[in-house]
Amino acid sequence: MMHLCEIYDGKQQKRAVDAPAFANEFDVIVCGLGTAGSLAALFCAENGMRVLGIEAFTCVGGTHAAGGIAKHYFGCVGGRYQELDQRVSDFAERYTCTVPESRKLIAERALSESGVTIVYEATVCGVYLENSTVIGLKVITNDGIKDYNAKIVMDCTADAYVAAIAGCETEYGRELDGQMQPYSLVSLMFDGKDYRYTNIDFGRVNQFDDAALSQAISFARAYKIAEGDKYGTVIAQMPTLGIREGRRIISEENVTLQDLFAERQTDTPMFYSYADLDKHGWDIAFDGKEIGDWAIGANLGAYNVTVAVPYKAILPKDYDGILVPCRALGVDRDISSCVRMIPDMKKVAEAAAQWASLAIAQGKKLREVLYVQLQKRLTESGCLKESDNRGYRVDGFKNPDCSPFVSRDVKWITDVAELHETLKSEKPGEAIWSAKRIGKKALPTLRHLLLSEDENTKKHTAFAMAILGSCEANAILRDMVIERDGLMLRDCRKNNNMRGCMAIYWLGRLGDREITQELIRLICDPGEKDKPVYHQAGIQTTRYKIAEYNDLYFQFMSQSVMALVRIGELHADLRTQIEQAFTDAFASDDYYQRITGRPKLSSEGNMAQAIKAVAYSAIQHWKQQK
Amino acid sequence: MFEVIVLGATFLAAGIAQRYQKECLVIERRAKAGYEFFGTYGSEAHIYPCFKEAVTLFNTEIVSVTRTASGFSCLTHGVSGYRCLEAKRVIDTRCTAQMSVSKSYNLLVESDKAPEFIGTSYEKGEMEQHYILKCEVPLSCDFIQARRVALNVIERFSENQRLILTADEFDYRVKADYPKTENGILYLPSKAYETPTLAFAAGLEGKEADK
Repeated sequence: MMHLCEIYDGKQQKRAVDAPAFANEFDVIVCGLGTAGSLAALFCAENGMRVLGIEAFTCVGGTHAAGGIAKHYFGCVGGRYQELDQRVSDFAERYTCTVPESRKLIAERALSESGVTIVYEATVCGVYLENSTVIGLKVITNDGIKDYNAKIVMDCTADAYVAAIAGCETEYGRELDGQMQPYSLVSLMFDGKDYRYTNIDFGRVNQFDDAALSQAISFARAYKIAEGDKYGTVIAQMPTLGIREGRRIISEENVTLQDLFAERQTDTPMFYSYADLDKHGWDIAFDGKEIGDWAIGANLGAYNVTVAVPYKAILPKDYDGILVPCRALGVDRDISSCVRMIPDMKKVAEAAAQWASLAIAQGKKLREVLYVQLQKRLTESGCLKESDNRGYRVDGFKNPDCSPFVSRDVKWITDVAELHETLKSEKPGEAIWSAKRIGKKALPTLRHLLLSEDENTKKHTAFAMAILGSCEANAILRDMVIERDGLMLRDCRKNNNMRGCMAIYWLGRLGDREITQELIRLICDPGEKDKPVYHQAGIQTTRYKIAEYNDLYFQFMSQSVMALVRIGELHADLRTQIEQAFTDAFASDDYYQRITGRPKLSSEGNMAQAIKAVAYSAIQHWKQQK
Repeated sequence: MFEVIVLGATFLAAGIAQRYQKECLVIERRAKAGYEFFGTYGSEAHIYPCFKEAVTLFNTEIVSVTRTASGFSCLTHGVSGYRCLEAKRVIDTRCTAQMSVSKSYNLLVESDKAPEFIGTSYEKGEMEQHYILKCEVPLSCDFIQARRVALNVIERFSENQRLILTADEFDYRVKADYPKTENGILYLPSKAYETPTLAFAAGLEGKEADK
């Protein structure tokens, strides 16, 4: 029985249909010819398959071309994409002012030469299913609505858009409030000599709501870069928004941050992803416990991690005939901020093309193809290299003070006697995380270190005790909150945390009821924002310096609200006073004005509103529990 | 029901949106407005506030427009799938090859001298050494064919000529016979006006049908 799946007003519908007269039959249809899709289509065609590429826009390359993203952020080099990259680079060297323009032309030329049929300005509006196998698509084109048939469909829309129409299980947004990473808009700038792209984060948007998306587009595009910007004058805004996060599929093999921290790696990788857990929103207080312990509790947010990405992460659970080789692959939200970089997308395209080629050549379903055959091909091309499995690393380009950056492997401390040396520094993160890895047997040594006269040792040991779930050092954590300890630790090249904020985080995680009144004071007192801690000059942070936005105050506020929510979750008897505090603090927009004077649709405005939303949703949740 | 549905977030549409405000729905397939005059080049930041009071849907395809007893029913497809929207009137401000006498595929280039190539014309750009190079292409030409034409030109650039940007839209020269009404829909491409300012003013003043 054949079914047609479509979406009406946001709701998926599935109905039985007779087989349509398909316009054309292809081996593979690639939906979305962006970074991943353009390469997936190219590699499939080079492997001898008959390929249709469907693209909503008027060129190929997506973010890496029309989106104005010229370079890439970390990732592991290697694989078939390098040949096209070289052609793009050679052409740019001779003929163009920017690499993305070269990619637009050269990638399209490569696709045409390899025989890919490209349909621009086309949108998938329906998916044909036979049982749970995708067999074709309904597409809106400039020549009307057409039905195309394929052995395999690749959803490279970056949003699992086709998979969602087909009814595949997907998820998006953070658990607490459904928010996604901020979107950006890139502009090409010219200073009279050089051409550069600026990438400005604007805010968060639910890109599955057409009214909200349209409002975001208008807001970002109406923004005028001030005269005298260091990059010069705007030549053009890029035609596409930089949506940084979208739906992710539940796949046949999903990867979670818990897996990574527990060192559970897949034994069927298609490539290794390598970057930090690159969160663009600074309201990391609301991002959950797993990433919170790492990025706030241990201050390791900019440390790089390696993720072995299983090949089945691109096969939607219980489906066949469809692959999702793009950032919508099956990883959890915390890891998705790492497994989304341009090199990853180029590699996932190759893996998908090879997997599809094997399935079609062997006349098998995707799930019947043997991993060893795919592994052989990916290893031969350099897409999959065991040397890319680099574990945790400190990596980067420059330090906050612009001094040269020294990259290195992270060697976690395994001997408890060695913890002290690192804990007494202003870079205690590795010792805090090492304590977690060592486990409870580190506690006796840590108890001894708590007695130290050295301030750093004592305070950082309190964090290490907290990460082990011990409340023994809570008094020291409370003191850090009461004094508003504003020392910015220095583990990372960006996004470091102030010690006072880390203390609030841990007291919340440990459900410390004794800190409740102090946190209530912090969020309710309008005079709080005038404290010197929020106005430190020359503080070492590479968070952008945004006019009319006080990130230091925001961090204390957001951590306090989250800590109060966690304390209230654990201690029902404290809920009434926490609810009252939330109502007092957020009934008017005064709190917002204390954080930022920027518009509500801006990234900063959005984060300020998230504080209130989180607080009010806790009140609601507790009321329902009553 | 809206008073008017405007197809295409053009400069003409911006004027109409300002005039009708909440009673106007603008539907646009792209993620941007005002592209019919500038294509890729220039920041059209000033046009977006004009759409603020109207209901504007970007990234939305127009699947069909049909007449109803009370006006028109417009079936769209956007990020939340199909939707049906109704209005008393429909004005189509988009431009297609069928509405045009010729079209070009434009490039923004940096050049130490006026870029002169067979089959092209040029206009001086806003910056020193910037030129808009117009590659004339047949009306039936698609983007792939147009970029093939452009590549032939680019590969003849001298050492002192560089491509800055390629357009993501065609630059149409519209036939003189607009506006036209067919099946009750007013067809008036924004590009039928000489400048963005004239198109916007026509929309704002309600003179779009009087052109």
